[in-house]
Amino acid sequence: MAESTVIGAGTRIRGRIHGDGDLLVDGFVEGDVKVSGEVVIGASGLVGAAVQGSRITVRGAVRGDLSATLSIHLEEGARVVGAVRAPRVSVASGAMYRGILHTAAPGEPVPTIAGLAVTPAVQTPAAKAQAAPLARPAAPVIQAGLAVPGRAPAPAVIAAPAAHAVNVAPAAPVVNVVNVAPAVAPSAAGHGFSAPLVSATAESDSDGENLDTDDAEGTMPALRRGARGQVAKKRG
Amino acid sequence: MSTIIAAGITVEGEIVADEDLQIGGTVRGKLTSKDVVAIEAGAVVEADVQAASLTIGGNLVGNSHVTERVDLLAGARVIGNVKAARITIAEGAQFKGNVDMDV
Repeated sequence: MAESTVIGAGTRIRGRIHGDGDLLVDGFVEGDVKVSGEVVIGASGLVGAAVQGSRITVRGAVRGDLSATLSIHLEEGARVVGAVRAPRVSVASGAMYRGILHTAAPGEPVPTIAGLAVTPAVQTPAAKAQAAPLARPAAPVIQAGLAVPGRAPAPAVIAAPAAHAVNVAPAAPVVNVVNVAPAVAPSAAGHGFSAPLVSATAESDSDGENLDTDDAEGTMPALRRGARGQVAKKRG
Repeated sequence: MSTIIAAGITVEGEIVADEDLQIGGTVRGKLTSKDVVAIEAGAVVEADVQAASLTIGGNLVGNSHVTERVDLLAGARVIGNVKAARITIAEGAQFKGNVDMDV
């Protein structure tokens, strides 16, 4: 391939990208990425969906599963929330990562360690049942906040990252991160519902959460914060 | 820095760019740029295009709304309406659609 595909920093794509060749993402992609060659998520890149390639190098932010036939490298500054699966995986110092990691090629069984059954962590039905009712009480609170004009409800939103840090840490080791989201329901639901509210105050709110997402999944505050500057810039 | 969709790559969805867009592959959906959009020979674009300027050497099926100029190069194949301040159509370009130059 003479030239490789580049998604520049000023470009946003909502939809699927697939085909043969390499891909460099410095912009924003919300949609599955599946290419035969190498995928590089640059420092300003943000991908909000699953990524598949032969090699994947991440310096930016990804919320979604990474799957590579050869290797995955999370470099300094990378912010990744999602499952990682490749025969060879490296995580550099300074990379932030939350999720389940398998060192096996996509589709192959995960190698077992002698005497240890390695099974993918799956959220139990009990956990799901518990998460669902939790999610609901949060909604009316935030919606009530939406009705108030101006910055009044901001403290509730700012509180969200702190709640994340406290809630997520104990849950992370056992449960697949993709499934963790509902378990942190009070804050996670807050993200989803608070998005329009926060965007109104985003310019002055240095601690505000990222505004650009319409999903209700919880993510690392750092992941969103990293992406925020870029998104806000484009908006303005 | 600009965005390049190389030959062999398909994008299905919406592309919104503040910068140049160079399409060598396939795009289906919608294409919006504040700058130049170039559809190269061999590229297939099935999308409505909005841009400051549009150069077409490949295939475009869809309406285009361009604030400055549209250039259909030899070898271009365009089906759709074109609205632009200035339009050039090179000999050898195929075109089916309406042209609106705001006269």
